[in-house]
Amino acid sequence: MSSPERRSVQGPGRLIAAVYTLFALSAGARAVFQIATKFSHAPLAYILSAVAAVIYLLAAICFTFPSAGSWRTAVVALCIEFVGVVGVGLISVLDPGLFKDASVWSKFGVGYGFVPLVLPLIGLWWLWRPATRAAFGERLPPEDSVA
Amino acid sequence: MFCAAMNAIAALAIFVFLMALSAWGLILAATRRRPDRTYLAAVAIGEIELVLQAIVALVVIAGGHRPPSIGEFFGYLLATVILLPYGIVRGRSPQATQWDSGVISVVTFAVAVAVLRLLALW
Repeated sequence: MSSPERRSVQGPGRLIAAVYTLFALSAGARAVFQIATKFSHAPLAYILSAVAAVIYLLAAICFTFPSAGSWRTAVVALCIEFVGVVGVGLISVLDPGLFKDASVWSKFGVGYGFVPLVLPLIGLWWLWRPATRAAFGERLPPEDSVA
Repeated sequence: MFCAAMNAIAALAIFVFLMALSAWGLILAATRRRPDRTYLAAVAIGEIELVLQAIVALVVIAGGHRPPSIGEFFGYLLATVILLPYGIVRGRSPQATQWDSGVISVVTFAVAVAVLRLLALW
């Protein structure tokens, strides 16, 4: 008995969407505060925190308003997120001088209990499930189709 | 009037209560149960504690105390009072499932961390 006029996310997606919203708010508030008050102290870390916040917000919005377009946007956002947390994690370990203050993704998100590292993988696993795709109204393109 | 030791004890008590709520929510989620009335009532008690803490903080600040990083202080103070009502609304929804027990578990954990952070910012 699902209402066709307004889709909503069910199952694990309810929890994943809430966690992304929480991360968007906390990373966003922190980045705004740091950039406004002490930007010159660790500009790279703060800019990356802001980038992370924008990606979390984008994913949270996609999860809240399911559609074929938001499914694709969410997949791209989560891939960027995973590359970001691994890349920033590696750079922050190899060259700690670049990060005088912690960003959300530095040292693979250790300041957030490594949740930032696991979150995109859980999110992508969930997005890839056939039930989730159906809920978003996303279908696989026919074979041999040229996008 | 403002006693740092009493403040720390109160904050730690709230922290422990919130961690217990988080564990409770996790158990509900793991056993595939949606939030029940008892659990939501306990979360509401947690929210009352947090609102009282926020009122005390505002009174102390109005009385002249200035935390060194006041913007950050207010940010965390706001986070501690707005998150549990969101969880309660999710848990009371007729469509709530065991995943909403998980949402409340995550939210109470986040607020517990924020309470500790707030304590360090006094």
